[in-house]
Amino acid sequence: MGEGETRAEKGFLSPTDLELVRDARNGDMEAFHRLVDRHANYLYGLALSLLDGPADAEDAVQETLKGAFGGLRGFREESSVKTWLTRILIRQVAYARKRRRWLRLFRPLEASPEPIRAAGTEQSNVRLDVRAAVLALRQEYREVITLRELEGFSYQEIAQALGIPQGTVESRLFRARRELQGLLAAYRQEEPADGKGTRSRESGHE
Amino acid sequence: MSELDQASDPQTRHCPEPSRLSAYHDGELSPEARSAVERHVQGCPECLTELERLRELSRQVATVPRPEIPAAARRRLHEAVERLGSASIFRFWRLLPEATMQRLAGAMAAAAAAVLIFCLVGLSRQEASAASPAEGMQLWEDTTVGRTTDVTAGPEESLARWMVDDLSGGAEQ
Repeated sequence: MGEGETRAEKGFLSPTDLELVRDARNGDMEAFHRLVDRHANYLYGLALSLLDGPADAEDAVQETLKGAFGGLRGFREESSVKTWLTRILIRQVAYARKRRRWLRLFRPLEASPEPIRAAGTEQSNVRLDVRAAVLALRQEYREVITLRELEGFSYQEIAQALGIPQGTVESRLFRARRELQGLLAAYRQEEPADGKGTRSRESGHE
Repeated sequence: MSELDQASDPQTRHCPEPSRLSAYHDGELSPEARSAVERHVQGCPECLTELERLRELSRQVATVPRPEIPAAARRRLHEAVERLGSASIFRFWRLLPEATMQRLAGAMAAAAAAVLIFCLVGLSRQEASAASPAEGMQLWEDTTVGRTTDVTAGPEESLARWMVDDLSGGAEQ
């Protein structure tokens, strides 16, 4: 674990995220660019799941990278680099949403973006329904659902990314799923009669 | 874990907490809690249905397409990083050893405090004197001429008091 071993150039294998962070910390900008390449897609997808539009998502990712660059020395290596970046992104998303709320105060007539529901195949409609339902969740539920169901984070990783106890992750995820099931059921009921995807409302447990 | 074992005992027909079932679905329970839930679920159609609903939900969410970052956006990110790297202050700062950085930070904090104190003292002095030359003249008159009149008024007043006291014979009393 000596400092010398962390140099990415030493091995033939591609360096780990942690090695790239350590190299970037020592002034290797190329290492930071490689980190950007590795995680840009993931961060952008996550930002897009938590924010309303691609421009906001890109801004949030850019701010996340700035935050990560500025915090290279402060990264204690207690979580994975991906979780660390996620944590910064979640914070940036919160700032972006706060900014947006303020802007809406000054532009009250601007309509908030509605979930897109385009015509298409039954399968694509189902996807749109699910995406619209996830976007309709309140923010704290949207975060846990996205991190668990789309990104496959463990409870511990979600807890680290959101800065909440693991028990809270469990209960929040359960409530989020309940709400998501309710939203999906509502979307299915709204669908036209010819839609085969319409499901009967399932009875509750107990 | 024993609480969960008890709670999910098929004999008592108590179902586990719904959030525990959700955690079971995610594979987040300890081995003991997991086997307790499994024992319960085998004899509980409601919990089986709930588990099936959780699986179906996960399947549906997994169908949501993952967006790719547009090439232009990726390029802009790299450009932003490039700008960060070329900011000389960052580069200089990051290349310094930790101890030097701390010492430098301490020295900078002390210098900042000294500048702050200097400015505060200067400001308070400026307030005590005057903001403009005209006000300065007024202040000079007040403190010099005004005070001398007071000084001259002092003996006159005491002279008048002495004369009154003397004439009325109060001085002897």
